[in-house]
Amino acid sequence: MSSSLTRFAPELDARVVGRLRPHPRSAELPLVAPRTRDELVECLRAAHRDGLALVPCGRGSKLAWTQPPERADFVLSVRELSGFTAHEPDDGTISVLAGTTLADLRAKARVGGHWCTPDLPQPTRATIGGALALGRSGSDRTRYAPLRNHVLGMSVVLADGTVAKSGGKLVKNVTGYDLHRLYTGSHGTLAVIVEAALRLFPAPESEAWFEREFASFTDALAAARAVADLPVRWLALSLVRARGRWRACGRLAGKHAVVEHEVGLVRATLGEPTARDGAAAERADALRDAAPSTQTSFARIACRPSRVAEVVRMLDLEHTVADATIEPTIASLEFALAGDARALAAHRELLAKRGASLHLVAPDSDAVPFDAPGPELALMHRLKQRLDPQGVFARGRFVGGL
Amino acid sequence: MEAPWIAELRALLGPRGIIDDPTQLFPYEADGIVLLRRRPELVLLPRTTEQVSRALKILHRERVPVVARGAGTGLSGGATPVEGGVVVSLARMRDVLELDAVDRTARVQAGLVNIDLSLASSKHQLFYAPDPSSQQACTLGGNIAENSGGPHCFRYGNTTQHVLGLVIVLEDGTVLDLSEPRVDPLGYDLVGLFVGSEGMFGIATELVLKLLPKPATTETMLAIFESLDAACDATSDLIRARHEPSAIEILDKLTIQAVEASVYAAGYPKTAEAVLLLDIEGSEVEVANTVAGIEPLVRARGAIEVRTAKTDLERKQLWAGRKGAFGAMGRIAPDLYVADVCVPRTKLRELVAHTTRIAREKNLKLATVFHAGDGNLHPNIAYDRRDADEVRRVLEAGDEIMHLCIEAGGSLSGEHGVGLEKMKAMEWLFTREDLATMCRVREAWDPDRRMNPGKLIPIRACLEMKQAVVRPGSNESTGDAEDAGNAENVRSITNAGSER
Repeated sequence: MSSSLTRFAPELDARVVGRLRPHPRSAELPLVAPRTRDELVECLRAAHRDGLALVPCGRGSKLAWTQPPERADFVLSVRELSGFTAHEPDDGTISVLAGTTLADLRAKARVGGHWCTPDLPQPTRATIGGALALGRSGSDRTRYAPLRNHVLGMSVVLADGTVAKSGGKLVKNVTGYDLHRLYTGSHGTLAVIVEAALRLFPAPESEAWFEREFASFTDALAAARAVADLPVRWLALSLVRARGRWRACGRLAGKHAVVEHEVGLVRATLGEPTARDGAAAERADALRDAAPSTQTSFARIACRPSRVAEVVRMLDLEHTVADATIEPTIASLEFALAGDARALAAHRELLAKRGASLHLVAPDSDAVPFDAPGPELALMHRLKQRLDPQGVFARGRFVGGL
Repeated sequence: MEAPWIAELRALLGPRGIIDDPTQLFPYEADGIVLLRRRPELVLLPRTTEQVSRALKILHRERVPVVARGAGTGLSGGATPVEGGVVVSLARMRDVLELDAVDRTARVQAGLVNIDLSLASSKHQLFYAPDPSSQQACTLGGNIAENSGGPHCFRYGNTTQHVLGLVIVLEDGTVLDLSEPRVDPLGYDLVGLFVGSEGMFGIATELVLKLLPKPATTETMLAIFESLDAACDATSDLIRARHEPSAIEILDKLTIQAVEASVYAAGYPKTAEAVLLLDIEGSEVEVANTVAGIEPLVRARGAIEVRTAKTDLERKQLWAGRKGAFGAMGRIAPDLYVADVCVPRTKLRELVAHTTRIAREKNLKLATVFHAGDGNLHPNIAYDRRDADEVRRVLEAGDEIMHLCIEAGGSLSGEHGVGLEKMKAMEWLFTREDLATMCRVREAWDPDRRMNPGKLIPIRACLEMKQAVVRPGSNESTGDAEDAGNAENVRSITNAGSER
């Protein structure tokens, strides 16, 4: 997998800014960072022409979340492609280049009076392009549903350097196939995302943060379910395990009068809010930035909401995990991995029987990160074959060897 | 003597599962675009996924083109058959297979009528959010194919946001079971990609859909205006002020008059130039807060009266008027051109003014009713299809409206899809590379391009029809350039009374 700069054509060599591992278990490779869309196209054309394979990334903070590439010659970062190509606060839409950090995106949206999903950990280090490539939704998913629902359109560069767009910048639009749904979550195996148009939501006038400790996971889950059933629009709702205790944490956000009313409804179950407004946002951000997914090794299990307790019981997570975040309405369970990842991977079949999936991020282990898809894998390979027959986007990183 | 493959299909589906009598094929010759008629060779009416799979295996072997059909209410020609091809109607697959009130999901067959899912969910205090105006007739499978919308998609989003899983039968009969509702896709988002693919990737036979709890409170407001411009400006103001009602709809004077003269009469004032119809949902406090914020805004834009529905019956009447508007327009003229375009919400007034000007210049009768909150315009032009010159002017007006929307940063369709109707216009909005990429993705699903051929993607863009499949022993192409030309000639012509 090693490579020397001299193998590259001048248009690639000129853009090499350093070296980076495409995966913690891979050797370092040249890091190519084009500064413009045209340069990015040139880089892709050169790679395609010269039979090179590359691993795309934003700032590279989640490269460990996949498998090592079968073969790669360089890492291609879109970190230099940052900024905004359109912002229409009165229409509630924004178009952003892939290398823009989530922090910058949020700040820009806030200036226009908006909230921008996803609310992900470490927003100063994560790019929107990376979040889209991973299809990663944030802590605000409880209210806003997955990130993929709010991508209005996308511009990508394909393996041969072709620039292609889908969708548009409109909150409603069914013109043409939703190819941006295909690229979102494809882990950079089909195209490099250059730009995305996103829907924005009203920024809250007021916030309230609830945090209450419970004697057991069962009690915490019962409390979370009780408040989830209230006529309340939670921005975020989770069960958090830290220092051996389970807490139910909830974030309300919206117009002053509505938040006041909702606080009154929730109080009976979760007590008084522990923080309000700015302090509530700070507490939520702190908890988000300490999420299990910020650790080197963690696991994520997703299932139906009604099966959360069963999965926790089955894997004895109540007692065995040190740090965990469970979103009960979404049915997403994330926890830090302490032992051998292969031991957890051995439960895959059992989990699958309950409709649950497991994503393992354990860069020091050879445990396979992803569940194997079923008959749909053949179709996924056909999609890969049509869009990137040559394997310019390094193979082997995603599910089923994609 | 019957061809062996037809006999095979007859044996598979039984006498009630196959239609080949020309008199009975007539209703299947067109969808909502009734002037564009093509006679299919056969119509199949399977009952199960297994039957769809076995039927598609036979059609794959015989290389017969296939068009899937729900209720045929579509307005883009998406279900227009292919000459010599087979229509697979999902009309007999209308069972609710599972309704999970705890996880708030429903597993249904694709031919279930949209409204029937909300009716089935109602006893659990749940509902299915996407509500096309044709929801009393259109099928959920058709909604998936077109990624349909509806008034309340302003708050809840189009169909794609409510689809958790699918069972899809591919062109060769392979069954892809993607029905386990997943938090995030395992691999590529095949379900998300399939929704809105207009029947060109395969046939969805079973759907797993998200249900929502019924809102605690719903308030329906009617703001009455003396000008259509003012109603548009009020809508832009509501969006700008970050208000979040569930639906924001506008009806203009001609529409109001048609509705009030029909069985859908809702009590709209006949002298008003426009009305703004809003639903506000949520907790009692949330609704009261939103209503209190909206009322001064609409009054500031010149609303001469703001009413709120006092009873559930009154609320239903106000919405029956809106949802019956397209049917009511049958009173104005025998035929109706139903445009479906989208613009940024800041450009509503501008685009509505342009459409009014175009209709005036071309001496056409325009009625406008639309999902204002989403920027989704439905300029509707009443005409008589027997008047060739009027038909020509209607088509020219449609093209001009689409061009103006594109110039304003808009798009060709908000909920009806592209189908045959807007295929040519795809080249105005997308580059050749954009369209070629769509072709590449389509070929991964359907390498022979037998599923709903000749739709959505223009021929020139990626030589879509150059390799048109010809059934052995037949001279009929499955969708040649002539077919496409025919589509162009009758583009956008629909009968009144049909809206997706």
